[in-house]
Amino acid sequence: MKKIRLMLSLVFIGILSFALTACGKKTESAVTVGITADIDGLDPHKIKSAGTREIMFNLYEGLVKVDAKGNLVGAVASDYKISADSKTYTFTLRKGVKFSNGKEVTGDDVVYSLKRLAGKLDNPDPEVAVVAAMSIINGITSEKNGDDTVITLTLESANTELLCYLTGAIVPKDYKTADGPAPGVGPFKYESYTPLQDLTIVRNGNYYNPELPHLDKVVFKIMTDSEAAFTQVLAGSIDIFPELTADQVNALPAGYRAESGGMALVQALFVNANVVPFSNQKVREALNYAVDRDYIIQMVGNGKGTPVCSGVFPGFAKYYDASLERYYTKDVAKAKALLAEAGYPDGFSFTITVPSNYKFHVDTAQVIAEQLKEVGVKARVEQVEWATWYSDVYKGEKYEGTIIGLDSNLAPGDILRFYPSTSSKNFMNYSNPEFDRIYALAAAESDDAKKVDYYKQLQQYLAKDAAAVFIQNPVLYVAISDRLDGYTFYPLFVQDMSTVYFK
Amino acid sequence: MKFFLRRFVALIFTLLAVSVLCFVAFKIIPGDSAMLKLGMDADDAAIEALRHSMGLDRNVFVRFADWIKGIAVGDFGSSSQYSVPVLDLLLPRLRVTTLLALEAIVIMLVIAFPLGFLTAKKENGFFDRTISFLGQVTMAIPPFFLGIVLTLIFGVILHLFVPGTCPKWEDGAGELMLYLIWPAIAIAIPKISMVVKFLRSSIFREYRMDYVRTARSKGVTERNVLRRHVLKNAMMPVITFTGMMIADILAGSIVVETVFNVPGIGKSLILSIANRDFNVAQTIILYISFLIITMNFIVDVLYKAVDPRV
Repeated sequence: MKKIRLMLSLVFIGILSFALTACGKKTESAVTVGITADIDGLDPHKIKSAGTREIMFNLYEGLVKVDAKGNLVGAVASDYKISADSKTYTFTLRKGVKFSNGKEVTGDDVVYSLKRLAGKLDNPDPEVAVVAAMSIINGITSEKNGDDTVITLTLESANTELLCYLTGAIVPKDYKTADGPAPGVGPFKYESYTPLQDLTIVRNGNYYNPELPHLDKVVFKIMTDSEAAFTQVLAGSIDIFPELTADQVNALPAGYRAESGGMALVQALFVNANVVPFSNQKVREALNYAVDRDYIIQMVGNGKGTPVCSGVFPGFAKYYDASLERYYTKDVAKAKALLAEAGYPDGFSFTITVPSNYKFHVDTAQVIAEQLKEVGVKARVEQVEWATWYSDVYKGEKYEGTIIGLDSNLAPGDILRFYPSTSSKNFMNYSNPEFDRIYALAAAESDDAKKVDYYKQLQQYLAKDAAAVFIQNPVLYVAISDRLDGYTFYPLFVQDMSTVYFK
Repeated sequence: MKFFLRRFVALIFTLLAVSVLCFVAFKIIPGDSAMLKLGMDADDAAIEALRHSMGLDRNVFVRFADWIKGIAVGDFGSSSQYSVPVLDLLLPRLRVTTLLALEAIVIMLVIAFPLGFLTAKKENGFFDRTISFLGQVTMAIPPFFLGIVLTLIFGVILHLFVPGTCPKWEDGAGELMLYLIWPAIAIAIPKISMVVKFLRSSIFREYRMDYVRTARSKGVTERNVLRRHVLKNAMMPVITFTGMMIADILAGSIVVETVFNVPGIGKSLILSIANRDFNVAQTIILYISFLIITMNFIVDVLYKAVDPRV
């Protein structure tokens, strides 16, 4: 009798659970992703923020695209060749590659897109975010070679890193912003966008890889801040939230897990070498000895993150000089001695200006200000809104110290673009003629061993000259619903939704 | 008639003054939309070119005059960030903010007045003391915090609504209204406490007046003392105050909109300032000033109706 009852209840539970899972199964697989900044716009060539770029990765592809390991692989082009003198790049278009509207991609489309990105159209749209590195391209041509369409780029001077800048979206010829969202070549296509609310993308049936994407629909929901977004994670209305703060990682509700990967940026305390006392290298060195990078990572990054003492992060693999990670370690006595040598035995006070929308940098500034007290340096943390930071600190160089993360594409020359003394992006006013000389050599060098050596030398200069107080390569924490799998981290800012699937 | 005309002229001048202030403020704060649109990697020449094409390099006075000319014919310009006409961007959001405000106002009026009378029935009675205490507490809580508490209790724990999933207008106004009840409550609660407190003290102040004693001594019932004498006088300041509260609510509850992810103008205002989207910010600010001035005007008219002496 007892056995029968047990069997019956087991059968009942079985039926019930079957019924429940059947209920949970939706006809359409849609995922909601929480983001905390509105997108820049729908013209793929006008995007400038990392937050929008990482979403548009799903809609648009360039001649080449980056894969999860950080390699450049063919996208709109199936194949490419770089000439021995690094002055000619040739691409073969992928056969039958189509835009999301079903039209085949032609050589003209590619030439137009590249010219638009390089700012080489006759009447350039001033809002297009021109890729400065593409200015060395002299000629862009397309020709038929039998069945193949071949795109040839000829360069003014040798450059081995240009490929990294050719991931920009290929759009139809004569596309203009006013035409609305351009059809792209990516795994998803645009469906709808409401400013400050959401961006919806759906499967692109014309994608050249028929295996992808797994999802039918992704909604990027625009939240005002990470607190509001996290409330929705708690309520279960967001499936993926890629901007978890360290505190939130520990407060994730059941049904979610946090995954982490290195961000494509270097976080540093930059000091303005044009103002006293930071013009004195000894002062900059002293600051480097005064901070405890591991402690900062513990405080702001939940213990994950790689300490760095130079301007390149580990994602650059062979170009990254790991030996510099501990170039500076906390040494209060040494810092004090250096300050005394520089003429500041009692320390000094200065202001760290941080953009208030980056809580991560604000928190870091507070920890650093605390650490600098030990060597007698009083740092006042001043929060300003982003536009003010951009105008006064970055462009105007009216600041003493600031904390920010500098990002990059896959070219090692890109992450170091801030430091040549002639660069308009050199807001810390670092200047070393040797650095400038080698930086120019590195991009043109086609011998890989030499190139690696050049880039390591550059990193050593930045560390030795204490160009900044480099802090860490931070980690990105992503909240993912347990119903999902396949989320992939890239060594760049990319939210690849094509690989995500329901378990 | 003269009264209306005077008011109308005052309205135009106030709006003009507000827009001048706004223009000057935008001129003073660092950064402009051309800079922000192109991002950190743009070189100076590109920023200059965009500035030129957006007309930002023109003389301030010329720009202001152009803007005013546009407003005069109902052209509010276009958003620099979204490249769409300001009204296309704002009208759908304004609809939502207004709906939210109306709900909050209804909740406020329906609860505040009965509650106010109830507390005024007996000074220091049970009701009076409890409600006064609750009033003190809720007045001290900022609405955004109340919003978070409401979200936590009714959204996360009781699952009465899904936080942050504000339905779109197109998906059905009914659903939207249902969702907006929660932020409306968060907005209404502190206002309710204020109106109750105001009403209560206003009524008690009148009770202490000599005319009340006279009325009582000539045998008017307590009920009629309240109805015929006290209320009439007590309502005057309450009308002004309630009018102010309504204007306040209509002007948008920026922070509460943020907490509940309501697509209203509050969020647009903050972001338009952050993005230096001048036309959008200016239009919202004008709208809010217009509302407040008009509300004050309506209050004055009501005053006239209640008390002919004014």
